[in-house]
Amino acid sequence: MRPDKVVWEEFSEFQAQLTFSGVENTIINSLRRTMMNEVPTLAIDLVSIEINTTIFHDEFISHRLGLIPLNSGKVDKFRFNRECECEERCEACSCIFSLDINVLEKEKLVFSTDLKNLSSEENLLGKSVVPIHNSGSEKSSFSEPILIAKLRNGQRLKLLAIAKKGIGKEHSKWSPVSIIRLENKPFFFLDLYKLEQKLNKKKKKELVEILPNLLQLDPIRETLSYKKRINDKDPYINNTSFNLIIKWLSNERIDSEEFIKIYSENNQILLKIETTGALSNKIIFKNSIEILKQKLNLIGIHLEKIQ
Amino acid sequence: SQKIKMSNIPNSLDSIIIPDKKEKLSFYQDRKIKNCAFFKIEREDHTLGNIIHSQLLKDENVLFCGYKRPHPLEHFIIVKIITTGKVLPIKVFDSALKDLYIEFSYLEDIFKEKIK
Repeated sequence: MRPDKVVWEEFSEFQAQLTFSGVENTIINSLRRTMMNEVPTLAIDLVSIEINTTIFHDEFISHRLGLIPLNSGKVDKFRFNRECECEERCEACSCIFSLDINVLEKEKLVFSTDLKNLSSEENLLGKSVVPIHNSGSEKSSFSEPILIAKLRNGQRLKLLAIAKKGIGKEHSKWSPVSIIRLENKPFFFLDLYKLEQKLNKKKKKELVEILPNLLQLDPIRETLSYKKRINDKDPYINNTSFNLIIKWLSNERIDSEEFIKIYSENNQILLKIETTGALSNKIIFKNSIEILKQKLNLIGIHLEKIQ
Repeated sequence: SQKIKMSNIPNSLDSIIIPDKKEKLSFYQDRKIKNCAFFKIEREDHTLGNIIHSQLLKDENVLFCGYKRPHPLEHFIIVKIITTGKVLPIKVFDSALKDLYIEFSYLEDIFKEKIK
């Protein structure tokens, strides 16, 4: 019942990976579904447009505004709008933004940075809700905020946008996760004995030079073999070496399918999470477990009523 | 809430909110087969159904267990349990829920340790 091992790795600010050993894939799949659909965040839900002389129609701009990820670190303190005691909206259940663009130059690009948070200075809860301007990877040298619309000289756009709390089941704009993948951990196997029959001594040396930590060449018999592993539990070939082998084999015009086999490692499952930026990966995972526990609890309570 | 909608689109909150007339959990004992019960859970889908079903199959007192979502536009699941007779279906269901709760608590504890 108790999981053997759980490993958490963070590749960047927005990407993380969990490795489970000894946990059933049904449980991890339920966690994946919860992370996508049931973890609450904030997103723009109601847009009232005063002036729109752009080429985009009202619903188009509203749809794009809804999809902008908002920083939902304090979403636990917000209430759902349908459960709130106020008449239409209040500070405890929603957050208001405004956008006012009047184009005097030739062309203007409207970014998410142009959205103004209208919450008062004392309302710290509302002030924390800021659009995530940069959800790029480390590779992009400059980070550009999210583009909402492009306007031309003389066009105007003026609107008020209200952000509310919701879950992904209602609309996927409230989903805190952009990509979430569940897969068995792959285990790569390279058939050296078969491969070296096709290579001459020079090629064998090349291969050993590409993978110095993995392979070694016996100088007398001229055979390839694996170097002794430091930790017996580590896999022979990891991801980077595997990619190098594939690249080298394709350069040499050797069919890789004959010599490489991929198996799934026993009982180890990977869960790769990429967030939109609304919530951090750790919080998404922690909240998903809490939400599942609450659901189970609720059904247990109803079951006791029946008994 | 006053939203202007096109005629055929169902309300997106239908899959989340239970209407007043319906119960979250209802229970029906089969009249012909012994120790057979149906549990209807409103506003839940495969997220809960699959883990409850797989946990029930591990119990040695359970002869048959299956769950289904009868229609994608209707938001409830039905779990059918047949036990050997030593334990009632309600008890088996209850212990499956508790075991799942414990397993998630283990995961949570391990995760909190790892973050530190």
